[in-house]
Amino acid sequence: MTTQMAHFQLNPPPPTGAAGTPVSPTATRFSEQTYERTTQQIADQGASGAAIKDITPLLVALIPFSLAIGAAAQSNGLSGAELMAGATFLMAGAAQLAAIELIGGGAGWGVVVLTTLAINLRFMLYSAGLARWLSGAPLRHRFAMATTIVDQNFMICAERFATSTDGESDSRWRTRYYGTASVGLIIVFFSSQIIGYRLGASLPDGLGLHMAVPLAFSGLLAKSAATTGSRLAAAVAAVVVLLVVGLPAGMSLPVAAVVGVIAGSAVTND
Amino acid sequence: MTTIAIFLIAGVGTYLLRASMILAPTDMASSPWLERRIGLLSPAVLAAIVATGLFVSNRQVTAPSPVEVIAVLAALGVVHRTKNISAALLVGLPVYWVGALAGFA
Repeated sequence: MTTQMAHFQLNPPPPTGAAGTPVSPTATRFSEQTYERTTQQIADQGASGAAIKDITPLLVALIPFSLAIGAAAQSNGLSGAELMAGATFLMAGAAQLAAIELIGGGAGWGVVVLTTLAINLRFMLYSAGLARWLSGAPLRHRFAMATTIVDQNFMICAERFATSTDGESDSRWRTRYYGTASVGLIIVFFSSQIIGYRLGASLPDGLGLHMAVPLAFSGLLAKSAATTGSRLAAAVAAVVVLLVVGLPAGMSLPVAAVVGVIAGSAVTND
Repeated sequence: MTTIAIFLIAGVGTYLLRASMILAPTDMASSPWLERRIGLLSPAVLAAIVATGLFVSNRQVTAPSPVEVIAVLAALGVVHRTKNISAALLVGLPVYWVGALAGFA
């Protein structure tokens, strides 16, 4: 797509009308602009389509998790406005769920804030990873993109951008891809929480919705653990997270991830 | 302090964590050394999340039901074979339902 556009810009076709008569420069410019816009629109649609395809399995997995957050907010006595404030300001399900439980249990605000920050510490690592692929985007776009740095977005970007084709390496393509995935996440995250808040404890257990997160993430794991180093990192992290599960404030996940990365690094070249 | 104010403070702190690297003026993530480590981060986090979802309940390590393990193994296997991550849920959930109906949950 990008190659075609570049070819057109460097080698425009002769400006002739329907009967081979020359056309005005204004008409030629209009034609070029129209072609560029059309090409860009097709590229944008491709980015959006790829994002929808990649994010959909994770959105399905997000539904039961978000339903559980809404139900927890109701059982802990939070109002609908407080639930939505948590979803909006945090944009992080695990941290929001922990905060709701702590608030419901009467914890002080300092404990709640420190707990959520500890759980969300991994976003700093994700931010470093995404910076490699999104650094070409305008600053104002990166300000906006930072709000939706979450597990799902990082996972699909890591998978897609690590093996990008020429067109997908384009900054605008990546921004569109990330933005589309973010919109999907926001819609599902908020709507499912509202439904969970409304339904409360009446959600059926028999659906096995608690399995959605491990199943969806195991699918990503099967695809991302393609090297010896990544498999070792995954195995070590899985063991370590169970060994340190008692750590306070959700630190078990970041600790396991760091230990896993260190272990995986031991079998890489440097 | 109100609940909404607590969420606001936590949200601002979380945003700063998220923005710390992606808004950094220098490309801190450009070194090959860091690139390799970040490439390992995704499988490490994913495995930790899957292990937690399977083996942890109320911050205690517990044995999962056989059908849960089988469902996850089926999801891993089908994605490994097809390279299609959508297949994880499409295969894993029905496997869980069938196993649960058979009384293995």
